[in-house]
Formats: sequence, structure tokens, C-alpha cells
Amino acid sequence: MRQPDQFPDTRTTLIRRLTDDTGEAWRTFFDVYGPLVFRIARRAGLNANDAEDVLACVMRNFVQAVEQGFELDHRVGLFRSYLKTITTNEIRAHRRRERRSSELGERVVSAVEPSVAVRWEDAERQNRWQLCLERLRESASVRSRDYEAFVRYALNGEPAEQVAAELQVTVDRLYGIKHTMVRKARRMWQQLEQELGEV
Amino acid sequence: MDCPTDEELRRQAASCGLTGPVAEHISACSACRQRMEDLSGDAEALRALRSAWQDRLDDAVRQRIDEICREATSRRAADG
Repeated sequence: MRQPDQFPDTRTTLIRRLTDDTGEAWRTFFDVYGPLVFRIARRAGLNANDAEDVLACVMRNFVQAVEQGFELDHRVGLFRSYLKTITTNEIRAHRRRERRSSELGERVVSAVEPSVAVRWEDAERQNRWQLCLERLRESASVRSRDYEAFVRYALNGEPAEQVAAELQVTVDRLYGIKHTMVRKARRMWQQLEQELGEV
Repeated sequence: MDCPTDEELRRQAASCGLTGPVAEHISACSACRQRMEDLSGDAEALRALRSAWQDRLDDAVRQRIDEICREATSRRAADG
């Protein structure tokens, strides 16, 4: 049984596949962690431009680290700790520049502040559900009408009768769509957990 | 029909399609729809999805994030 702080010991996990340098693995990595790093920076109080700068620095550093043989060591803790640390460092660097301080502060943090860690877990969980929604929208097995019905009725809370009438489905069918979409999203979440580890 | 038991609702939630008398009852009974979601774990997932939807990134921001990430690998390829 897999230990809670470890990646599944398999070649199919995303982080391990990155070292095989597949474009598909990198696209998935960026899909998952690009928005997450951006959100963390925004939640730390940076404006959108600074959050983009942080994202660019973090991704460049991470890509370089993998290329230089960053030891992933199969442990999710190590990977998350590394990503948190470089993100936190970049956020701090931007804050220092904002303050226009001429003094050099501590360049490297040895551990992520607990408050950042808590935000990170929350943001990662939120980010994965958002990725599930994106994948639902892009899924070949989901009709665009069904996705719209799900968003309007189940996510936005529009009245079932109104949504059903406008999209020309029965109310019963609308309930079925909601049920099916939640099920699909949960399966996508489980796939992400298998690939990335639990949040 | 009377409201189905928890077990009947669980079976219904686990089925792929919503058909039959239990499904018809659920369609007409909002209390049973909520019970079925709670029993199946769908309610928790739906709450998370609603929160994620409300906090979603603007399409333009999402596109910009993709561009920044692509640039990271492009630079790597150019450097290599």
C-alpha cells in the first residue's frame, strides 16, 4: 500500500514522466501547476503582472532543475516542498522589489511558512477541481449543450425549469445531466490523484 | 411511490442512467435528490466544483498562463 507521503511507485506518474521529456507530460504539468503558482502569487497579494513574473521565474527554474537532474526521489513531499520554496522565494523577491529596499534579504528559505503551506494545499485542491471543469468542457464525450446545462443549473444555480426550457431538454434530463457530469468530474479528480498524489 | 430507502438511493446513484420508478420519484422529489447526492458523495464534489467555478480564472488570464509556461520550455529548447 502506498505511503501517504509518496508518489505511486510507477513510471506513469506525471513527475517521473517529465524526466522522460515528453511534450505531453510537460503540457499536463503546466496545466496543473501553472494556474496554481499564479493563484498562490495572487493570493499572496501580488498584482497580476507580478504574479505572471513569479510564474515565469518558477517555471524556468523548475524546467532547468529537471534538466539538470533534479532528484525527484519518488516522494511527493520533496517535489511539493521544492515548488513551494521556489514560489515563495520569488514572491518574496517581488515584495522586496516593491519596497524598493536596497538591502539584500535572505535569498533562500529553508522551509515554507506554515501559512503559505496551508494556502498552497487549499489552492491546489481548488485548482484540481478547476482542471476537472476545464477537462469536462473539452471532453469529446461531453456535449457542449450538456456542459452549458450543468454550468447554468448546477454551478450557477439557475432554475431548472428555465434552463431546461431554454436548452430544450426535460427537467428530468437536466437532473440526469447534473448527475453524469458530477460523476465524470469525480473520476477526473481520481485520475489526477493517481497521477499527482493526494492533496 | 414512497421515498426510496438509503440503499435504493445509493444503488440509483451508482447506476449510469436514471431510469425506472425510483428515478421518476427522484426527479419529482427534491428532498430525495439531495439525499442521493449526500449519500453518494456527489454533494461534496458539487460544493467543491461550485467553489472552483466561482473562483475560475478569466479565459484571457488562463491563456496568458499557458503562454508563460510554453515560453519556459521554449527557452529551455533554445538554450539546449
